[in-house]
Amino acid sequence: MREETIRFGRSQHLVGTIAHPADAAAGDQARIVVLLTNAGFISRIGPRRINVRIAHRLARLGIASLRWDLSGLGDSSRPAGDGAAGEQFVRDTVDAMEEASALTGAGAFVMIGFCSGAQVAFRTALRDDRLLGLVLFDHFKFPTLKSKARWALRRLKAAGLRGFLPAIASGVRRRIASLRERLRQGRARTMHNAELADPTLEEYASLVQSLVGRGVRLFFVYSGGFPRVFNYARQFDDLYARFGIPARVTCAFLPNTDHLVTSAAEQGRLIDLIVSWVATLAREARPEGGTGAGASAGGRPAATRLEDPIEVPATAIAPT
Amino acid sequence: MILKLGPQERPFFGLLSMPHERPVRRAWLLLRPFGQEAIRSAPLYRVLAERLAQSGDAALRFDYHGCGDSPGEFGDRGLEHLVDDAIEASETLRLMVPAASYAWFGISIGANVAAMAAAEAPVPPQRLLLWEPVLDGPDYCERLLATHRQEMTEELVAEWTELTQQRGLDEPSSPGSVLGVEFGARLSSQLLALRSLPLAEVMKRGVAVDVAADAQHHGLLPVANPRLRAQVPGLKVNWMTGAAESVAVAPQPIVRFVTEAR
Repeated sequence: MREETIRFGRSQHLVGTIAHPADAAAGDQARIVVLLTNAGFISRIGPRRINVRIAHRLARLGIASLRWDLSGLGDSSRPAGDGAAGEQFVRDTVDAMEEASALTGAGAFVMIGFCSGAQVAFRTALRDDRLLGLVLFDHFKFPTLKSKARWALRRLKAAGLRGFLPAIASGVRRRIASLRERLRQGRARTMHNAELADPTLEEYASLVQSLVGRGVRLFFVYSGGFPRVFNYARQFDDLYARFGIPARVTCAFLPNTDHLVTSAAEQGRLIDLIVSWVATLAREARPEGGTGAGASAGGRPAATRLEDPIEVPATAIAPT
Repeated sequence: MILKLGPQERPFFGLLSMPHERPVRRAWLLLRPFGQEAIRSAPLYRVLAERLAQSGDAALRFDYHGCGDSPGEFGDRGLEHLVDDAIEASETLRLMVPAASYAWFGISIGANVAAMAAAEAPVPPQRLLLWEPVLDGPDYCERLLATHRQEMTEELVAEWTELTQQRGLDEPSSPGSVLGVEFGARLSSQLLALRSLPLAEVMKRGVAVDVAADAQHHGLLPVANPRLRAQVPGLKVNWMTGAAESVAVAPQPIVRFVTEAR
């Protein structure tokens, strides 16, 4: 493996590190580059340095990666102008793809996004079809009746009825405030607004459907860091079955992994899951003549492969 | 300017911020702490480098080999390897940036490394600024473990006993893993043994030292030496925890500690 830290971007304002596989031929066959970026204020190394570890593992499998800091974060500076951060981050990601293309010859990408990085990946994929696949860690989370009941039961067990009642009152107040906000937005709410920060379940599902419909492969990973909202393994199915999404994407719920991936054992499990999923996608993205089956001439996985399950260690999936 | 530092078998990455003006008044080496503290304090180091460059100074910040964005894993390395990297970075800074004077700054373990390196470097800096160096190793190690447990219980909204006994999560340990970072046996024992800084040796070399440390630790410092200025930190930040997010990206008392050093 060879790593090189570079400056790039339309204003030479971005800083990133490209990890080239030791075996250049294997890297060429992969034909994809994996993109990794910030999680909140955390630099391009990711929470607990997970981006670096993923990059090293991928390089050993012959897959190149570029981890970089978005404008104004980590070591990257803000370019001239006064654009909204969200739009700038999409432009930064486009710049990252172009730089990675120039350095490796790859024309297709997979982006792994933790926390806010997931939102950057998601928004970019809605606009740029060079992103073949996304790993979305703790992207938007919606409760179900079952998750609410499970949380309430847990609180009841832990705090007893006396401790539980103030929590109910607080939850009702939050719900009323949320409904008021939605009513206030009224007709002014557009899909663009929804995509930015606060989509409803239906709006989010619609965006996911548009990506899946285009053949983008999606891997949703949920940590146990939001137990009030997301707390059982089949929750994704319960949320998205009516939209026809679960059969066309991969999802894992890791109840013992926190949002910052603090436990080394859980971090190892998460890295295994992600690397295995990306490696499968990379094999399928190989051009004809590679070993991957079902690849189209353009290096994009054939749509017929979309419903194939990705093998993940059973221990990573929580019991329902 | 992006720099590839260190020997081939131990490369590490650095970023040099240069002022517009020449000659450079002072060149700074900014030494990061270790592990999660380095991750959480990274924005502070960037802000410091930018402010210093704006005021006519150069600043080199870097990630030790096996840490941050630098290649490798830290593995069984110890504090002496962090010191080697610091000295290597200092020598590169001297070669690349002729300046009227040189100064080093570090927080937490980065402050310890700065002091140790200043005692050993072929050419020490004129000025050493240390913000909350580790002067009680056992307490530091215990805080690492406690922060790990606290982060997990807060994030997963569960008691620690439930997480370990019912859900099978591992206890943090040093040696072992704490806050997602591997602590090898060598580093663990060295951290536990931290109870002082080699400041007497450093000051014998003509280095002026500023230390911000808890009053209870001032007794461990050679405060009678006129080259030493000890103060109590104007702000306490636990860089180990995610709660560091809730403090300013670059806390002003720390920025002033560096930028107002004359």
